[in-house]
Amino acid sequence: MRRLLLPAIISAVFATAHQYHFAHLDANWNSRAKTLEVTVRLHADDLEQLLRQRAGRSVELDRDPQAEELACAYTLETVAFERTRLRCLGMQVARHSATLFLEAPAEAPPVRARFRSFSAHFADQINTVQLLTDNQRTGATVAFLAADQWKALPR
Amino acid sequence: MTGWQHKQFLGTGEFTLEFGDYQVKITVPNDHVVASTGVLQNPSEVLTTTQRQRLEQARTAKKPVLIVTPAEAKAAEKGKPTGKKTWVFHAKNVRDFAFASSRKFIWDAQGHNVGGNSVLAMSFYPNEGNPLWERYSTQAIIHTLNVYSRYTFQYPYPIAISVNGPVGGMEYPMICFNGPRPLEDGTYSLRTKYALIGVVIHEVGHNYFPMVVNSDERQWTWLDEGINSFLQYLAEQEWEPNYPSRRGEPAGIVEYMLSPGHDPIMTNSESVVALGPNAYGKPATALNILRETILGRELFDFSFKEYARRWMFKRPMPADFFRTMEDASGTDLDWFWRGWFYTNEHVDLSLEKLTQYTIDTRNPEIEKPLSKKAKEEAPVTLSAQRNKPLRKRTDDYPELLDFYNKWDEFAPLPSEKKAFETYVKTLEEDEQKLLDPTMNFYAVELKNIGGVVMPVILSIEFGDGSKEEMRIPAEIWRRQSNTVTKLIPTRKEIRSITLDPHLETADADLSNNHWPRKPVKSKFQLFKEERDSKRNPMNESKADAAPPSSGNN
Repeated sequence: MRRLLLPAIISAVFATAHQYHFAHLDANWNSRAKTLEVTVRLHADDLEQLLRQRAGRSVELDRDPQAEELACAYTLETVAFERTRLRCLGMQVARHSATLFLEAPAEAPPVRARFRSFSAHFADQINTVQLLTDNQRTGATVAFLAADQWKALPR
Repeated sequence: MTGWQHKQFLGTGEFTLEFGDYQVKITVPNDHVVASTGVLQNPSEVLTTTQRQRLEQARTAKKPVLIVTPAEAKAAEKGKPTGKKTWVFHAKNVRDFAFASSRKFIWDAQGHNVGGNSVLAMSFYPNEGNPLWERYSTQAIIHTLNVYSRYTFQYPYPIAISVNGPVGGMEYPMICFNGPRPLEDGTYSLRTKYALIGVVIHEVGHNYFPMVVNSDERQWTWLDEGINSFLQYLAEQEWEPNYPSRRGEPAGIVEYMLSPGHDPIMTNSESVVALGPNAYGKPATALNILRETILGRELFDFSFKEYARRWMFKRPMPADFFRTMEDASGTDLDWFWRGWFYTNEHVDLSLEKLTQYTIDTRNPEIEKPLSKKAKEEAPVTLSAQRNKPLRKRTDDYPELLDFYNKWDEFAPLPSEKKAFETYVKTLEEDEQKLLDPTMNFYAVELKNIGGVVMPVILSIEFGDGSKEEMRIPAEIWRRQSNTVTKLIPTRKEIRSITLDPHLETADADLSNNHWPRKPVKSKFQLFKEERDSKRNPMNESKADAAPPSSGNN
């Protein structure tokens, strides 16, 4: 069952759709380049509906020339790492998911993160963050529930 | 089976009911078309002569026939009803009943013989559903009946309907409701196309699970949604080459299996947090792995069909599924159900180390030359290199040289040869054969990091460029589920080994699947490389938009 707070999004029981709200983020600190490389995976359906709400028009991720710009803007609003200024490099769209690629200069791995994509819209949204250093996982995955703001990242 | 049903309807667990026969009368405005569970009992009262003729024609048609055309549906939209009509439907042996009624419906139908059962496949949709619906809906229904019946049992009902409605997808006996539509301009994206085909397959597929194999979705969502998602994957893969299935491929479930604190599949429907990957994606993947990697297609398909056949019009529980798959395949799968259905562990096998051993034959004729070669191939130290040209005292006084200066320490001594002959006599013939000096023994050390035990699939590349695939059953972990060593005897030298070379086990970390270790590029790196290698899309657009040269008309 979807629990939606946005009035413009129609709630429905989908026997086949994803009846859950989940997003994942990998934050890789590249020790050689001294950059933070962030890969954010969002559900394409959720993102399309949300962008339609924000843009006031239909936004098809794989066809709209402005989709990447809109998706980047939203992702930069909802993903943050302490003392880091992210920029969005672009988006890849698959049948069911959209992957956003963000990057920032970083002298060290981040200490705290905020990951609130869809959190203001879905009460059951769960977002997870995995910190990596040079593509090796460091520490456990951190889960962000809808009410969570900044959280420390274990190393 | 459970007596009076005490579970409240909370939404997620959808519904479950017992079987019954239904006779339903539906009175609607007389310009409506009704799609319903069951067989229409009074066509002469509710359909025009033309519609009845078209319906008859559809029963033997090779492609969908329009019973109500787009123009007729559009005309009906503009009109007003002049009275009411009562449609009568009869449905036998169904666990629920549903219908849809609208004056906007286009209606197409095609009869199809499913293993001897004549089924009328039908779609109902408004003009807003076209051109997508007229092209794909009824085709997808028939495709589903063909594929699902092959893997389970003959479709038992006379009707199969797909209706375009306001839900993403929802199933009832003989009828289902599916959402995807084109944009207002009549175009549709690739995602919308596959969303429609996929959802029609899925919802029509629910006729088999749970409409006939009547499991309790209120308790165990996965038992119908997971099995249905698995069959949906099989049907999609028979639709067109490289169909972009959402669920089924092992790599697709890794992210969910890595997520912290996710629920095991064996969790009550109302308690599952992420129902999509938990009850749809993960069981579909697990069954695909069971089919492709654990049992093989022939054994799995036989066992799966046996489960479907045994539990038609009955109420199976998870244990019935597990038990049937085991006794029909003659395979103990306890370890598989435990890892994939009862835990929230993930798959991550690691190829930790490769150690090469050779046999000590004890034969001085073999071992001494080998020792000599090893000594000769050993690196010469820097001091030794620099000391070599220095004039030695024995150059000036050769009388200082004695037996030991001339003695070949690697020449077999008679006593050593005799000792070996004595030793060989103590060995059996089979044991003597093992003293083969050309044999290499490689010890492959494997570690189970994720927790779920899985078969070990190794692709071995040898020094001569040849390759060999080794498939070791999961029972290798039986006595020690954390680390295990596999000994590989071979006459060739191993150059490299890849674990899970066909990505068939949902291994979460591919960076530890190689010996020697190989760097695995991250998604981020691949994206940047791809982006950097692309031409400037703005320039490409300009080039595409440029007018043709004057010579081309």
